[in-house]
Amino acid sequence: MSITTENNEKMITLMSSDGEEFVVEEAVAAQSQTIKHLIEDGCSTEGSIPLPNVTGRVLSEVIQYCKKHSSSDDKEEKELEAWDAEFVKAADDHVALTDLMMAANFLDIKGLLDLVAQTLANMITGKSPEEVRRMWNIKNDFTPEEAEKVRKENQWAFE
Amino acid sequence: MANSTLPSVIVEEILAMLPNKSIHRFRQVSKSWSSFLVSSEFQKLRTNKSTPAETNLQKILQCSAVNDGYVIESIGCLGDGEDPVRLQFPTDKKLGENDHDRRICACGFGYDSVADDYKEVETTDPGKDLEYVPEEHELGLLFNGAPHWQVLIVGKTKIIAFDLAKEKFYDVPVPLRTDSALENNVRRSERESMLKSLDPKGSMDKSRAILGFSNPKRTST
Repeated sequence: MSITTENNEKMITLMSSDGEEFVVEEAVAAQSQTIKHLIEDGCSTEGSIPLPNVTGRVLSEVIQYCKKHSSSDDKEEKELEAWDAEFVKAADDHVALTDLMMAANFLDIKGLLDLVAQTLANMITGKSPEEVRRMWNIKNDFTPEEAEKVRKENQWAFE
Repeated sequence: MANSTLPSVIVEEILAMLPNKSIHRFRQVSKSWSSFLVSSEFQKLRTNKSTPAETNLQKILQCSAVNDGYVIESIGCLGDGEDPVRLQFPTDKKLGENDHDRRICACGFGYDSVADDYKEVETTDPGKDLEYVPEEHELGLLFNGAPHWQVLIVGKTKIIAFDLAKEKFYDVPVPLRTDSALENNVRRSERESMLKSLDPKGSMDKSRAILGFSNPKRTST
């Protein structure tokens, strides 16, 4: 489905995994390298582009980011940075951020991927290994002996 | 990094953003995290990701991955001639008792593309044929990935370089006229022309490059 707006901007329809449709300008959607390539390959001429890995909730956030970043070439960098900071703050917790990051990875939006990765990194920097395991349900697969060895080798990082 | 909720590519992107201390601490999280955090793949990812440098050391690591030519400049910024800053890397190696008394004749720093690692060179035993050895802590001039020093062997000025991969010294052919050019009253232009022969592409910053050949007076016996 290829719609054209008054100012001749081509519109693209994106469909989330839960069937929600989003109509966005092609320039906005093309912030995603994945979508850009799909458009170039002619996948957008009929119907909407299905994004089976991204839910509607996450996709709406991603589109917000893409809209802001496609429209602010000439805006001040500082303003964009402040906007980014607010944007990741609104994502609330590490679960939402992880979902957002997976979408950014799938859609290949480098700026968003780095932004969220840095936010999550800042979030876990001061945490203990146990706290990090709990955040993402990671199994501690060290034997007690192995755990003790790794702990000793990296003792200074706990001080 | 098998985990139902967190694909490895995501974990890797996050870990690459962490400071050193956290990286060491998180080796305890799981076996897969531990092995990834010590891998060369991770080091590369981290180097590529490094945000604008906060320290000179970071700048060097960042630059040397991109282009050896820039490393010289960074080292030049670090060492002020009198007291070059020693580059320190966290290792598990403990200092031996004798290590504190060693007189270090020369030191250098570079990237070994074979081992995919950064190496620091320290010379303590210059060998019996060497009449002039680089002055204490003289920083080698780095290009083409190898630190170079000017030395005097059996009355002849030579340039030696250190192959970081093979960990061996080798001689670099000195262009004609350089024996005199390297003497006390050496003119800057001549030194530069010698450097040019070492660096035909001219990618080095001349003023920085001279640092590696500082203090020509010491070359006289």
